[in-house]
Amino acid sequence: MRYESNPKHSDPWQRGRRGARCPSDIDAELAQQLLLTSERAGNKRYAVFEGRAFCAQQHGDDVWHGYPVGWMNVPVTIRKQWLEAGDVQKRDIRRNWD
Amino acid sequence: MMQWDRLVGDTDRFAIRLTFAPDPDDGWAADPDVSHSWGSFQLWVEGRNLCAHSEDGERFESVHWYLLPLMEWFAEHWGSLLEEEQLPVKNVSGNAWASLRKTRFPPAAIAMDANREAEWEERWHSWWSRHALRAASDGGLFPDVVFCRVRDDVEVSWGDARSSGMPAEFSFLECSPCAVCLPPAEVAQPLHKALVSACRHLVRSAPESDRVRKLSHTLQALRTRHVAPRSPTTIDRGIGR
Repeated sequence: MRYESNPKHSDPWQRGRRGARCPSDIDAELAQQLLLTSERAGNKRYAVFEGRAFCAQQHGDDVWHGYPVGWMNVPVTIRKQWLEAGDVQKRDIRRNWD
Repeated sequence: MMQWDRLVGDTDRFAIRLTFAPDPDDGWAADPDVSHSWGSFQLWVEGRNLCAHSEDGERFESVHWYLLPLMEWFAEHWGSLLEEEQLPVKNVSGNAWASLRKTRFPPAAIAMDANREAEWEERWHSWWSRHALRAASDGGLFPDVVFCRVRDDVEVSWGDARSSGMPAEFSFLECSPCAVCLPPAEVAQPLHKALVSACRHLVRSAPESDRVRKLSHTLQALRTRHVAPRSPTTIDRGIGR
């Protein structure tokens, strides 16, 4: 799997035509790592980093882009799996729910 | 540059506007089917444009994003949006948006029991996925709008909720929690007409797309679907539990 950033989630923010903005601490190298450790659910993949959730979608031949999501978007089974593994805490889920 | 644009319905009751435009990034890092559907939308309820928002002080009337996932979500959950009533966990507020907010975390009594907690979360998430517009955002910044059936009406409810990745300078203008109940036909007819019309455009612009063809078939099948009023028995079962 290879990560490729979608400019609609990246800086510079262009008003009126952008989506959820990726936080500045997620660079290309870290995004690739998150993709490799992500969990698949349907046609999407989910990753966790420092209490925050991210979603990836495939747009090419094993090429993916990602963006931040609230924990409400993450399938419950994956959320539970990460809670049990200690990858995320309940307080993080509540804080970053939307 | 606008390629296609339709406003269907009565903005003083319920209306939807869908617009297609060229992908400003020329399809970079986007599925080709999805890239073809770049555009914008507006949702109108009783004269309020739920998509109007401010970005860095500038007002925008539409949400700009890829429309194919949104259209697929409407088609896939058509029955739930127009016919499915109360939340699976508990109706604790006057409308679905407020109830979803209040019940998003299991109550303390349930949180002590892992099985009951998991069941609560599964049911909540499943209902949210079928009724909350944000479940279709796929990375876009959508208003927090919830559709569901309430007795003989379709309730559209909304409120202010930030979402991950939403910049501080971005905010929706219709942010006070509110709910409006409308006759199902006043929602279903313009919504269906807009979706079918928009899908025809996508079929023309991406005739090779299996995904668009599938959407077209789904929407055609919905055409004959009757949004039936509730029988008294169903109403009694669905409300006030």
